Parts: sequence; C-alpha cells; structure tokens
Amino acid sequence: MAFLQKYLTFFKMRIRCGLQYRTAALAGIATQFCWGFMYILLYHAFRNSDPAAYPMTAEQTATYIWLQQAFLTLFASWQLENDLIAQIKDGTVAYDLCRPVSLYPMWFCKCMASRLSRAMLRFLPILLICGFLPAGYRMCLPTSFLCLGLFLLSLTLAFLLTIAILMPVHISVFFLLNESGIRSVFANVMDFCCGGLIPIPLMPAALQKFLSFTPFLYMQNTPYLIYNGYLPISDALRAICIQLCWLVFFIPLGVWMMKKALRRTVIQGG
Amino acid sequence: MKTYHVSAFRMYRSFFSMHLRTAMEYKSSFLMTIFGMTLTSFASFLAIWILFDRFHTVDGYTLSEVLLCHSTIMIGFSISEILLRGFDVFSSQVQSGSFDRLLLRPRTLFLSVLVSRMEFARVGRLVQSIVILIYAVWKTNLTFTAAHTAAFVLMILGSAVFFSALMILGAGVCFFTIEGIEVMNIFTHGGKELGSYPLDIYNSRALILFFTFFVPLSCAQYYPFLYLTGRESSFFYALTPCYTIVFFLFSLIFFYFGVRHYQSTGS
Repeated sequence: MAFLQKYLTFFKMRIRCGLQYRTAALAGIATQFCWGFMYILLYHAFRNSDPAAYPMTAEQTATYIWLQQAFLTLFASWQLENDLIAQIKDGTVAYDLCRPVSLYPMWFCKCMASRLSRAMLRFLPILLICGFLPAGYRMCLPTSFLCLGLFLLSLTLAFLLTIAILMPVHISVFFLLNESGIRSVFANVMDFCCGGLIPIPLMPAALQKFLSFTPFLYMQNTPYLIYNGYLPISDALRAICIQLCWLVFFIPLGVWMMKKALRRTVIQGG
Repeated sequence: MKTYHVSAFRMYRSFFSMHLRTAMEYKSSFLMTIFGMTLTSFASFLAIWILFDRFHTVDGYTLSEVLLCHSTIMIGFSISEILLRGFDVFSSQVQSGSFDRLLLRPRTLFLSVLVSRMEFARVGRLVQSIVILIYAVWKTNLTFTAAHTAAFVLMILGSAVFFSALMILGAGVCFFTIEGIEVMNIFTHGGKELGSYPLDIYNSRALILFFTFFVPLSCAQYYPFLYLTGRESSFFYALTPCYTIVFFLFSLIFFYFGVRHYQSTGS
C-alpha cells in the first residue's frame, strides 16, 4: 500500500490545487448551460423536421446533452496538462526523474486529478438545475439502479481510457518538442470521433461502424447512452468489456512509449 | 528638427508586413497550425453535413442555405480573428502590465492594440469558409439583383464588424476583471455556432430578440439572409447589418471607458 501512497499524495495535491479555481468554475457552468441549451434547441429542430429519422427521444437527447456538458472537463480532448509539457520542454522533468516514483503513474495521477477537480466543481450544479427544467429539456433519471450502476462503471472506465489515450500525446512531446501541431490535430479528431460535436447515434451508419473499431466509440458517449437508455443492458455490458480491452491496450502502450522516450532523453544542464 | 509623421494607414501596413514575415519565419509550425485550425472549422462543417445527410432539411431550410449562413459567419469570424487578435488576447497584456507600454505610445490606443498582434494562422479557416460560401451560393440558386448583391456584401461585412465589436468589448471587460472571462465565449463562439443556422430554427422568439437588440447577431446575418433567399421582400432587411456599426461604436466607447478605469497590475 505504501507504494500507492505516493501517487495518492500527488493526486490529492492536484485536487486541492484545482479546487481553488471557483470563479472559473462558475463561468464554466454558465457557459456550459448556454451550450447545452443551444444544442438541445438545435437537435429538437432537426427532430421536428424529420422525427422518423431521429434515433432518440427528446428526453434522451436532453439527458445526453446535459450529461455531456456536466462531465465536459473529464473528457475534454483539447485539455492537455500544460505544466507537464512545459516540464518536458524546459528540462525540469529531470527533477521528477530523480524522485523515487515512476513517471507514467505519476503523470496519470496528475491528469486524473486536474480533470476530476474541475469536474467536481461543475457537474453537480449543472445536473441538479437540469433536473428541474421543463419537459423536453429536462435531465431525466436513469431507468433502473442497474442502469445507474453500469453508467457509473462505464463513466469511470471512459475517464481512465481518455487519459490513457492522451498520455501518449503528452509523451510524444519528448520526440517532437512542440505540441501545438499534434495537439490541435489530435484534439479535433478525437473530439469529433467521441461524439463531442454530434452524438454518435446521429452519425451515418457507416461511420458508426467504422468508429466501433476505434477506441473513440467507447469513450464519453458510451456512459451517456447507457444512462439515457439508448443502449440496452446487453449492449452496455458488451461496451464495458470493450472499454476494458482498450484500457489494457493503451496503458502498456503509454508505459512503453515513456520508457522509449526516457531512454533517448538527454537533459542538457543549465 | 524635422519630425516624421507616419500616417496610421502606413503604420498599419508596415506592422501587417512585419507580422506576416514573423509568421513566415517558422514555416512548418505555421503550416501545422493552419492545418489544425482548418480542421476545427472543418469539423463544424462536417457536423452540419452529417446532420443533413440524415434529416435533409431543418425547418424548411436546405443544406446549401444553412451553409450560406455557416460560411458568412465563419468568414466574419476569421477576418476579425486575423485582424483583431490583439483585442482577443488582450487579457494577457493587462495581466503582464505590458499595456502600460501602449499607453506611452504617441498613437491612439485603438491602433496600438490593433497592430500588437495579427494571427495569420487563421487564414486557412478563411479560405475554407470562402470555398464553402462559393459552393453554397452556387447551389442555392440565388437571384443576384443589385439589391441582393448589396445584402450579400453587407451580410459578410456585418458579420466581420459584429465579431470585431465582440472582441473589443471582451478586451474592455478585461480592465475590470483583469482575467479574460470565459463568459465572453458564450457570445463569440456561441454566436459563431448559433449563427451557423438561420436563427429561427431554434424556435425561440426571446433568443432572436436578444440577438437582435443586445448582441446584434441577427442584424449582421440572419435578416439579410432572409432577404437574400427571398423569404422577406422588404429592402430594410438587407440594411440591418448597418446596425452592427452602432454595436461596434458602443464597444469602442466601452473599451475607452475601461481604459479610464485602468490600474496597472504593476508587474
């Protein structure tokens, strides 16, 4: 347990640090409300134009959108840890290498903590208020306790998977020394493929099929679709298994990349 | 002693070429950033396209009509992003105290902030939007009389003025909050997203009224769009983008009002 203690401490430190930005959180909540409403109005407009072509009910759409807004900071693809990247660039990563901890789990903890702390300040107020909106805009309750349980499990896995996929992006800075290019390309592709712009069920069938071979289909949208009942329990269980598989793939990949990167890293004194 | 007085226009031109040459120094990074930026706007285009692939129309509007809205807004947005980047990232100047230096310059503040930054990497977005606009105009079968051409030009200019005004307003707010505030994004990026569709599809009268009188997004784009596509026949609709100038002047006054309240952070 003492082995985990170190990482837990990093985690707690980061959480406390992140919890200080309360005004930013308030502004974030306001922004996310506006975005949420905008998307719901937009999708309702499309729904009214051709109800037969729309795969979800109005309530399911609203629930999906609010969940997405509430947990936005958990899954934000454009949110890289800037201080980790700065560390690589200016060489202060050497200090971290001197510590008796492994870099990969430490960075993983840091990423987790800063996302969690941001989400902790935001998701409750958003979900609470959204539960009391008029019908059609309201955030609905899950259909069963089993559904809620699977949602929480899948949410956790999707969160871990998001970080596990972003870790190689952080590590690539060791090789590239400039993150702006890979950041904007990767963030855009990932955001789109995860259903950040339009919910996955609204995408063409061929694209959905293609995405099912990538990890992106099993990230943020999976827990939301479990919650709103779009995915039946059997599909939900299958999706959770696939989430686990991708996690088992991406964590070792990140560890391996980190090892590779550190082997060729030269810290220049100064 | 002879003093050289360079006209504001010449000064702007030399800063313009300076920023352009600076960007060109790091060509690969510049191209990569252009690519990344273009990808962002391409994604929002793709989202519209995918939705129309499934639903074909929204509230009676066709894909090409929506793209007409989308591209004019994006053109206006990218023009103001390229040229008024100094106002967009103004909070950093207030935070670091480098705004003090601008106050000492023998030029108007507006000009000084204007030339402090230009963001040519956004050019990809502009080019992409122009291509989409050409496609949309070609597909929509617009009748171009002199009045329609005026509406069309005013619509694009109005969008650019509208977003420029928002950026100046955001910069003015920084004098009071020091930090750049995310809430302004509701109007800039929110306006960009909202305006990608004709505003009446949202089916909310309050929304249209708000975006007519307080934040004149509809004046910039929605009303002339209605005239352009023949949904409204009164020429008054084509002239509404002129109202964005009022909004622009208001933002400018607010900015200078902010300057009077400016206390240097001292760092």
